[in-house]
Amino acid sequence: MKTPCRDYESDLVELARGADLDAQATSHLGRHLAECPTCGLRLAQERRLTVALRAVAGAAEASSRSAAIEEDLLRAFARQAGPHPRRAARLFARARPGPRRWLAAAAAVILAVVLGQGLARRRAPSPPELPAASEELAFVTLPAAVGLPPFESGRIVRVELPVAVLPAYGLEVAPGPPGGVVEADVLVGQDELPRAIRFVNSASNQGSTR
Amino acid sequence: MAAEPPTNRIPDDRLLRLVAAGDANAFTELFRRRHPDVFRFALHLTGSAATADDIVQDVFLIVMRDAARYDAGRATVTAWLCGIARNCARQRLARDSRPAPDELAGGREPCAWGRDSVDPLDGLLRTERIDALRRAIQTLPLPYREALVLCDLQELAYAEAAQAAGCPVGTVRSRLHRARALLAAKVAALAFREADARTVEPEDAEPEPRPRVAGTLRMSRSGTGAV
Repeated sequence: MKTPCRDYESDLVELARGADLDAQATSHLGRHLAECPTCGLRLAQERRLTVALRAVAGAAEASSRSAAIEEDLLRAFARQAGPHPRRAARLFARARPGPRRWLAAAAAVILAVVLGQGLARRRAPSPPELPAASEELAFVTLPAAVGLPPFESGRIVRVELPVAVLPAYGLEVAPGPPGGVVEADVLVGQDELPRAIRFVNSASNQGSTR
Repeated sequence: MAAEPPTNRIPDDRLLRLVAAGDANAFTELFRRRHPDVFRFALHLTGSAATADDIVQDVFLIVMRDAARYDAGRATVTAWLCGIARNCARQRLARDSRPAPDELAGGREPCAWGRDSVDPLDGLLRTERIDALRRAIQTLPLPYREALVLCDLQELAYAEAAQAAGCPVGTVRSRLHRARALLAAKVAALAFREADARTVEPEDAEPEPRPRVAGTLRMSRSGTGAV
């Protein structure tokens, strides 16, 4: 019994699109095409449609506004990656188990203050760099921790900060591309308030990206 | 640790990880590398360069925000971007919903493949035919149009197109085949209409005289007596 033409339709379209059919399908379709002029015509027309669609694809113009769009996007990116409290808060919150948003936001503000004051002072006046030695810096007490109840117990939370935000706090990473992140440890007290911070120096923190 | 290669040699998925970490250079490289694909996809889907530009901007704003959510195990970066662009395009098309510019509307669409006497695809590579085909693509129902644009214009593999469209591979394949059949029928309708127009109004035919009835009516209304 002759196989109806519709059973070959899918393979016929795929063949016209330039797809690789398996050997069996190719053989069956070939035999059918040899004895079915209607499907032969259909194949020729599908092939012309494929060519025409490729012409449509090739004729698509490029955007005339791409440069302006790129500029706008980069401005938006800089705003997002910059020293924005919410961005820093998100980074901080992501590293903490059981995040409490208000605490993360407060910590972000404190982090900004200490980075801007303490760490920048440590490296002024020459262009600051992260240390090259494979050791961790000492913890720096956060100014906002002054006046808090005495530290009794706590934990250290490791966070990642985009390198891009560091210059805004007076800290630069050189040499290397401006991208990537640096790690820091934040000491969180028994009351879940951050008390101190230290940068973690590793190969990945020396101006390279992670 | 080996030095980081220049961004133009970093694979897309790694660029996305760098974007997630706040690397502006990686974002720039990803945009320059992939925005033409996103633009063309949006252009073919919407038929408007201005809308396509807006969609490009929307897509990369979302990339900026959600780069960390990209899962290389689930989709290629191109498919992921096309999936975002598809959602943005759908939202814009729904917001600006208006009847599709169906230049072929009216009359029953003939079967494209059953008429041996006229090949509707003859001459399709002429510029005006490409424009007509492009417009015809935009009249396809959206799911079929998406499949056609992803597979035949963007030339994504079925698996990638399925990732972008959020449906099984088999669904993409059947939509594509249906889209091609619909498109062929539309092109055939255009060809028959043009052939019909040539029969009725040959280019070298004398223009028909204007009916005098219209002038008579105008005279009687205006009362000026001028025709």
